[in-house]
Amino acid sequence: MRHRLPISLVGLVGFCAGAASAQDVRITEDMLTAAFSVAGRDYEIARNQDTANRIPEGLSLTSRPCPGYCIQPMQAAPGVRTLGEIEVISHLQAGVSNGRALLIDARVPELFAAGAIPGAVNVPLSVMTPDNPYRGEILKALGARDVSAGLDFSAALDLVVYGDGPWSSEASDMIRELVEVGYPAARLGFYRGGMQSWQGLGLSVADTLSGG
Amino acid sequence: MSRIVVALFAFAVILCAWIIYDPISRISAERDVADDSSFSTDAPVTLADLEEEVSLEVSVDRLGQPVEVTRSLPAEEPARPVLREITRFIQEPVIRVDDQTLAQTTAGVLAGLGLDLPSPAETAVDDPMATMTLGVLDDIRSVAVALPAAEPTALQTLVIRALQEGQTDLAIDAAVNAAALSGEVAVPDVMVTSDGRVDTSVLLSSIISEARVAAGEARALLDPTQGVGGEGVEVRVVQTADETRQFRFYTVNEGDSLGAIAIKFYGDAIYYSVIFDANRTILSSPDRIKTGQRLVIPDAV
Repeated sequence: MRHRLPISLVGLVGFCAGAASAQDVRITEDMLTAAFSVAGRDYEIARNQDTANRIPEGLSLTSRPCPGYCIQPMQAAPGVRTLGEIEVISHLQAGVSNGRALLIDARVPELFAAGAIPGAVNVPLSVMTPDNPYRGEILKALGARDVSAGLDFSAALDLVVYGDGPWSSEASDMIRELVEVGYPAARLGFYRGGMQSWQGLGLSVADTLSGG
Repeated sequence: MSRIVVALFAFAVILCAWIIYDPISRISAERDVADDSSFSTDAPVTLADLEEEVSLEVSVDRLGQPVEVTRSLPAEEPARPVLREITRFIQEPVIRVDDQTLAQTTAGVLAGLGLDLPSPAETAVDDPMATMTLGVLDDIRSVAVALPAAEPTALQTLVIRALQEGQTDLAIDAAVNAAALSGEVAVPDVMVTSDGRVDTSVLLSSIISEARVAAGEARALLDPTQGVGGEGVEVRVVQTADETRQFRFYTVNEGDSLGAIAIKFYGDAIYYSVIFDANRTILSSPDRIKTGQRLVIPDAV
């Protein structure tokens, strides 16, 4: 289950440049790649080593119409921390890898299948809305327990939620739904940058379409 | 003369003191307390005592049949109502009720016996949202595998061990009640009977029933039009111009638990919530069931 970025947008020149300067593009000065395993699967997050690589076409639009695609605030809900890429990676390495946390992709299944952050789990926003009669089951899978007065979240998983990008509301909507049903804000994180920021930095993307 | 006066005065003082402190009634009060203590849970209760007191006529093997849950009560002299109230008052807080539902307790016992149950949601697959939810659940569970499995509760441990040792239902019930009275185990609220005991047969029948469902058998559900007899059952047929409707009521007998009533009318303790929901006006909680309460028994589950 290792994923190498498909080198689709680069030509021969780019390829040579990338090969010549192998592993020049580190995540941080101290971190070349980030390896972790989730439920027995090994993942490795690295950056695209091609210094001429550009963001995929689909993410280069600047002016998606709002209402519809509106700019999201820095904080999704009171008490919910907002994360950057480094914090998302340490969430994967320290929390998700030991089964006590999840990185949640709130987008629709088609987009998730086409490419997502390695180690993420797809929980589309639509299953977390009150319209879904089975929402309680999902909350229980996230660690909530039935008590006489509703749900007890004291043993709930630490969640970090992301969506398409800072111009898309599914992640912050999901966080608001979770806070609404009583999920503790301290156990929630918001990766506001989403797939756009992730891919904008050339970080590894896992896609399930090609069986990866 | 003055001595006689002093003696009379002393006598009067002693008499007044006698009247004020009333040692005789205190003695009788002490005797009352002693009487009470013979019913209190502080008195050592041996397993043999418990077995004598309770005879369960419900067999787990008869699950799915319209079973009658009856108990022969201990042959005690007709207790004064006040005394009975006191006994109830003493016993009630002793049975600890926990947040675990009967289903969770059952699943835990079955897991302890080496049989894992599927989650209830995995049976519903007829609409897109259910399908999507199931996919999401699978994904979450596949990742959150390292979730520490819930430690078996004291009740689960006790029942698992007893079942593995092949103990009889009666012995298991006695052991559970002894442990519940001493506060060692907490039980699901549907197992608490109207006289403040623990109805272990509800858990045992639930274990059999879930094991059958897990093995692919259909869950038992009795036909509501089929008559359920027995003490306390009342059927009223209301005929209007265009339809005949049947209303069923059940007056709680001593020793009934909500789980046992659900087995009696529907064939499976899992349907206790149907009865509980229909009677929320008089039942604050499933373990608050009282002898003599008249419960509505809905036809539809």
